[in-house]
Amino acid sequence: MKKTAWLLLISLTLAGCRSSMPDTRRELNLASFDQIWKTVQDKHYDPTLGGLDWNAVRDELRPKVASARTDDEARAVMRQMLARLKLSHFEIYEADKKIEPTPGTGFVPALASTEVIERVQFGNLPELPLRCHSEMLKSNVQYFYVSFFINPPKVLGLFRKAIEQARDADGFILDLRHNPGGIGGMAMGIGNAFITKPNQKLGEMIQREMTFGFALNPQATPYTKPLAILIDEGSASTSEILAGGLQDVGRARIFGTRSAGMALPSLIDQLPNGDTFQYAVANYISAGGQTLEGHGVIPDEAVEYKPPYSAPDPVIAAAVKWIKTQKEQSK
Amino acid sequence: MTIKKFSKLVAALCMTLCVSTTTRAGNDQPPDADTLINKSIEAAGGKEAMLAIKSMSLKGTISMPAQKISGTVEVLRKADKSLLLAEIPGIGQIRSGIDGDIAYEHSDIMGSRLLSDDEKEKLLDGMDPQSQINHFNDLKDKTVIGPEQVGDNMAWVLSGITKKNDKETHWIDTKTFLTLKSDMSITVQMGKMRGVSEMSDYKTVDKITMPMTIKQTVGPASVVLEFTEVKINPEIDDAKFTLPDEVKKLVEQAKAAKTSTSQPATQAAP
Repeated sequence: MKKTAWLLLISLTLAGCRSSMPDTRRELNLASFDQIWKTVQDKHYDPTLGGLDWNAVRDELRPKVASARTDDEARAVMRQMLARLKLSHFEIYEADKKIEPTPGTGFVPALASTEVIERVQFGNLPELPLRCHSEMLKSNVQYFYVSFFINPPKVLGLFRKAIEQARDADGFILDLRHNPGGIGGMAMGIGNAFITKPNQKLGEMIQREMTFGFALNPQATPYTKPLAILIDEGSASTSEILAGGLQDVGRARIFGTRSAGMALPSLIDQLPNGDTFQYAVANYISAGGQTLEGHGVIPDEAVEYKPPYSAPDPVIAAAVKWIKTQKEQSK
Repeated sequence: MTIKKFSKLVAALCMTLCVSTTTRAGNDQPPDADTLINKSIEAAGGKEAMLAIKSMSLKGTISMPAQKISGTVEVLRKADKSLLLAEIPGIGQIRSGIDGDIAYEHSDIMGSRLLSDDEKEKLLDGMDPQSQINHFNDLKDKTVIGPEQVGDNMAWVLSGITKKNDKETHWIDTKTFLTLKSDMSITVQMGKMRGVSEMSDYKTVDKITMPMTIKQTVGPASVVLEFTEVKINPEIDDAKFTLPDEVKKLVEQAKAAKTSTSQPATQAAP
């Protein structure tokens, strides 16, 4: 009886030690780990990685990927490696996983349609639900909301229509609350519509060997009336580049709460195991010289709007009030 | 001539550069720079064939394989007109061109802008049928070393300094004298960057030998251009080069601004 119990215990222990993952899958996860490690080593904008001993991180964590029993475990180790960098825009997206707002907690501006106008699949990004809403408010202020900076032909097409509708309005409200970003160039495309002077920029991307300006170019018929941009803690990346840049060049007044402070330009590559890997390739400094990463954009007027986000929206109200004041002052 | 033309588009799609080559000592003595340049020009079709180019069209694909982004690209060139048109699903249309004195960019993402004189000069230079000849010959302090291995081939390494004082390097196949790789400076509105172009799959069309595949790496990202159709001296309708309406408005505004600044200042009354 005693012998049987020992044998059972040994077999259970062995079963516990044995990984349930096929060798081919393990190899793919190890290859993914190696690709991530090397990409960071070769392409991180700071070659010192903030003083982090990257070789030691590999030596510590690679064996854990080798012994992972499931893809989730292997992925968790890879995320652990990236977390050591303590920066935004280093993320692993699970293959075929869609991004959905969590029911009940997803932000929907009080004025905006809750309807997803399109599900966008772009490059290696996960499928994203695009919401966009344009409306002339009763106060004669044009309102425009976008949930992600994706699908430029569609989003910028709707945005340019909103600009045309706003010609006779008193001002423009651009709602970037809970917009986590997207295609960086769209910040310039939108910013271009609001400026009149040449040689301005939203900020600079600083890479290992060179620096690039997010250049702005005045369009043929720029929008010159007051511009209010709404942000909150869910506004990140391209949203912060746009809001922070236009704030710094003195073109927009920012309303809401401090943004996420996650503003590193990045690329997304495919991994051997089918997941995708997002990695920052540059630091970002706004036109005013502020590092947005870890700091965020600070609103000119702090206004909170908390769940359950019931109307009336106090942030929109503050923006409208300011626009009306601007109109009065210009008389 | 196409590589320089594409560099701006590629630089706009990605950002910086990284280069890696395997250096291998060889016993062969490198040719002098001028001899190598002449052989390279001959390999590409020769001066006479290049001068015979009056128009050109290229069609193909543009992709960022690591990012799973791809689309189509078309290039047209004729007299003082050129057009580069890329259509990339998820990004939209990117259009860059010259029509006489006007050089512009117009895209779904960025809107429209007129190019600076410096940018225009570079685009015009890229349109010149002799641009490759001029470009190589304009290099100062030329040196040739090698051979070095580039992929499966051995290449002489031609280096020099451009008119803008930028270092430039070209890897030229020791057997075919076709350019396998180039490392050069690219200036766009966003800034100055270095880009590495890798050329392969050379084909000859009407005496002009050119790469059907060009991989350009700018910083952390690579863009691949693959041409499936090349025509030398085709008929091209002028309407293809018509400026987008937004660009026309910018041109009118620029003209008006020039006229107003050239007016003599009004004398203040005493």
